[in-house]
Amino acid sequence: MLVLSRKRDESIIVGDNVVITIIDIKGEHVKLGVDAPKYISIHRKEVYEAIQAENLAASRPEAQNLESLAKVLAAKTAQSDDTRPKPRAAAFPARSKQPQ
Amino acid sequence: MSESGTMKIRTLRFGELEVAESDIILMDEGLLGFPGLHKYAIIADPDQAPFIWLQSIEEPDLAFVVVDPFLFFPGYQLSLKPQELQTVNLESIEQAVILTIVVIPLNPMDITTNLRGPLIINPANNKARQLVLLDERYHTKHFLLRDIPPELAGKPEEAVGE
Repeated sequence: MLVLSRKRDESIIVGDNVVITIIDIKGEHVKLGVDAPKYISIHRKEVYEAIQAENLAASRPEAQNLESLAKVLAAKTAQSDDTRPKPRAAAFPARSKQPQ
Repeated sequence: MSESGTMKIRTLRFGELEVAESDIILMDEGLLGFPGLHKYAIIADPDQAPFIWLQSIEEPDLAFVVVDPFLFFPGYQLSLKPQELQTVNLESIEQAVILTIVVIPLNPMDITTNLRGPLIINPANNKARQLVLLDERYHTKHFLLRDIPPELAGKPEEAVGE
């Protein structure tokens, strides 16, 4: 790993167009500013890794339980007096395919 | 793609399926951890609603279960930067379809969904992307079948109805 020493307001440049600046240092906390093109996504690594791990855990589910889960949910919704606003996500509706 | 606007795909769980072109989403960057896979079919079986399948077109055995998070968490809020919306050619979050990925553990009653990494889909061109939200209120495991924390349950004045 390349290790560089920097002071407040100093920067490093990665490639041609990613500039990382030390904005502030307070005790153990370092505030970084990143200037990068829009197509480069920048994330806190632990959050990025948590989502990656969660995707992995979600992949290839054993989902024979899905129908019974759907029933449990339907029962739950029927119980509550549901006046919530209806979601806007139903854009992929009943063009469904039955398992063959 | 055939002229009828459908496509035959091979899947492990559902066998061979014919899916409408309009039900295929395209993720330039893939899902986090699955960078090489860009095409997923949305498969909604009414018997399994509100659960929806996200089936990889490129890998027959790879599938995810997703839900509409607003069904469970009406107070869920996504504040996105214009450039995040632009990655799927959207100008406003109101035009987006949002889905979140579900994990079904051994005890299915402990089913959770990931509100920190939702999928944003532009229904006009089916471009999609997995977002990483900065909002610390949301994490990767929110229980679907347990009591909903008040901040996710929606504002009381909304719940009273219109």
